[in-house]
Amino acid sequence: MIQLEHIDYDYQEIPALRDITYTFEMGKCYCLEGPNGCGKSTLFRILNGLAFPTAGRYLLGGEAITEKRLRDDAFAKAFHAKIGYVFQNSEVQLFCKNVEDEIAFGLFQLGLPEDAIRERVEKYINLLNLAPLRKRTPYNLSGGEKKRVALGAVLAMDPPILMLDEPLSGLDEDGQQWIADFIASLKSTGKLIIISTHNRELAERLADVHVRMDKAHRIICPQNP
Amino acid sequence: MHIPDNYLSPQTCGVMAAAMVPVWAVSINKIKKDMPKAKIPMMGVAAAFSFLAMMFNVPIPGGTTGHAVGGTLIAILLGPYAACLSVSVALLLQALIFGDGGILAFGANCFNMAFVLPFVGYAVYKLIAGGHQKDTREYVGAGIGSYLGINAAALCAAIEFGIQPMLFRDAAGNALYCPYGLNVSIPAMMIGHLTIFGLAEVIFTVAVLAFVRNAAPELSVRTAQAQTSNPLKILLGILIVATPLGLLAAGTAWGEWGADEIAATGAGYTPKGMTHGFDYSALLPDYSFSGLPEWFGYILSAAIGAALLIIIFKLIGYAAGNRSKTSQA
Amino acid sequence: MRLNLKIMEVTGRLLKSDRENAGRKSSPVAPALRVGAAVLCILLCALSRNAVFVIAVIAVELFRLALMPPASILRVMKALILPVMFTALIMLPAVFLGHPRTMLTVTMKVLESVLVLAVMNESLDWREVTAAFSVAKGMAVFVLILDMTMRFLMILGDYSDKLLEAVMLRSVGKTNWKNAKVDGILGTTFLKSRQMAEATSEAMACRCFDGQYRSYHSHRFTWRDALFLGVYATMIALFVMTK
Repeated sequence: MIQLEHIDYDYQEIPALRDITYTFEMGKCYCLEGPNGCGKSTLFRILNGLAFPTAGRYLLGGEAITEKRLRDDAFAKAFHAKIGYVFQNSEVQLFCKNVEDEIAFGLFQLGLPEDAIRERVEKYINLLNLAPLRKRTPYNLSGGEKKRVALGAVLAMDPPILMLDEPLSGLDEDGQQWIADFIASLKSTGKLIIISTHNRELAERLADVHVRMDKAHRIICPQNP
Repeated sequence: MHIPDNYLSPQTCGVMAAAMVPVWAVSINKIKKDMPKAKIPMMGVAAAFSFLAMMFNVPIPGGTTGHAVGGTLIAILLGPYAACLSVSVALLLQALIFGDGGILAFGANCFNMAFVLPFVGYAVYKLIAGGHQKDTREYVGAGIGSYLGINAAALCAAIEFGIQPMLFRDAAGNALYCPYGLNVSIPAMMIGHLTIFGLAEVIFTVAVLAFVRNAAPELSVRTAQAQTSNPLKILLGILIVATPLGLLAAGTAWGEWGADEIAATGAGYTPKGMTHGFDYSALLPDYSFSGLPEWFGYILSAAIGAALLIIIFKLIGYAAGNRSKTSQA
Repeated sequence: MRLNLKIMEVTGRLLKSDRENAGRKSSPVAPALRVGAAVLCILLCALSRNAVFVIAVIAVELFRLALMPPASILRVMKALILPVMFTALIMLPAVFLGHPRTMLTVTMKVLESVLVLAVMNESLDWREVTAAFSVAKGMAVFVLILDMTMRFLMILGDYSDKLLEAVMLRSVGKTNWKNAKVDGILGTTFLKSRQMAEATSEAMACRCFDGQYRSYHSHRFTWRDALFLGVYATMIALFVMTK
């Protein structure tokens, strides 16, 4: 469960988030909607511990996430293992030399036994249709293929929370369809899923809860309790 | 300025590589401390950037071009330690994968381009520019710094070349590696670098620096903080002074060994090959064939001939195939 | 005249090698052994004072080259031409300065070292070459930096190429490439590279990076590797014999 309490965030003295108070519950799928520049990506950065609110509190499973605590490597590792984050731009997210290394990367960090790593890598390569691409360099793949690799790399770590920043942006129609179907299939796994999107159709199809933000960098719908 | 293999003796290369080890160690430690976050991707991206910078030809008034190394620029933007490591990584990949600069000469190339160049360039830049940023004084500092940096590197390369014929000769007095003494190598290297290449480096450094300063002023404060510490200045001084001396010392030792060796092999050497029509020895009479049966030479020449024939025919076939493909299209 | 020709060539080569090597089986012999053999070979040649050794190496490498597909041969030949011609030219005056044979020996050895590396790079993927360094303990981060450099080289090469193209398209009529804003292209590339480095470090943090970097496809020591050690032995034996 993620709790946000009165979060403000300024980037170089320009407001990016204002008074965000919201609770995300496990097992539900949230769609974050709103115009460009309303702060969706910033919110994701805060939720992933990549930026820290200027004011307010962020609690994950009841534990406060602060800059100071994340400086502790063990804490940071446990924290990041709980959240899978698929970047809007897969290009920066994929940094290994081939697809199978990309998927295995996080598993090596988690220190899983060798057999378990093999099993999981093969599972996600098959699940995401990556078998023909497994020796390719992620950078050279098409947009849709990159998105699939990024999803596989994140999901292989089996995080209870999954965040997707504009998962359909830059994909062609088939690619969009495939990714949308795939995310829909994840809904039954009991994960907390947060998706930011401009795509109405996707939001209607997937969301259990619609969260709308406005140009004043606030959450307007549903109203905060 | 990329020195290929076999221009320098392996001994020289060994000494230069050994000289680089403490520099790398200090740089890695510095980077670990100053750039904790993002250090690995930053190193990678800086190395790729310096790789790219070395490929850009900068146009020079008068219609010619010269290529810049960009070490001073990277030192100004990311600090001299980051510049040292990233240029080293770029040089390693160039040597290993792109065939630019030798593998054995890697240490020497790093010494010139990853150590002398950025540190001299950066020290001069700091001396002139001080804390100034985004003004004429900074750009003048960057210009002079990069000019002196590349020339200091070229001078080092010239000295490395120039001492080869003094130290490494065979029995007949022929140089084994670079044959030109300091009297040839220094003017040959320096004329180009004092003029075209130096100018290219200056234009390149100042132009890119000005662009970055104007386009992203917020980067400037953070990146300009790195200082050349006193211990490193001393280390730099000692290394620059001591390396040629060390080379001479190591070189004479090796040179003596070479003379003994030559004396030993000289006795067993007979230019038999000449009379047999197999004329490696005619071509290269300083090489001894002692201990090898002559049939080995025939096998070798046959093998080379056969391989070359296959290669030529394959290439002809390939070219023909390509042409027919394009004519069909 | 396009000043980014060389960049295009390098990125193009990397992209192409990626596509061509995607279906290829990985090297049966540990890449580290093969890279080591190439380095040893170059070192021994540099040390050798006997033409037979160098010529023997050239013969073997030429034979290996002859067995390769023509496209590979062409690439290796291209890689050879410039350094060999250049060396011959540079060494030419030495003939008149009292070192008549230096030109031949140095040119031949330059040919040999470039040939050895070029042939190695045709038969090994660059990923295998960088992975060769991971045999030494504690080198994981170093290999990661090497791989990261190659990746950024592709990305930034592509990026600066596109920027340059945009500049060309905007300049109407005769493209005066001398004014094609090298500063802007490289400056923008630098800014882009900083952003990318930061984003990548965040992505690594999000996937719990703590210094581990291993290859999923790990090479186990096999009889082929043991056999390959024979190559080392042969080289050293020949070196000693021809000494």
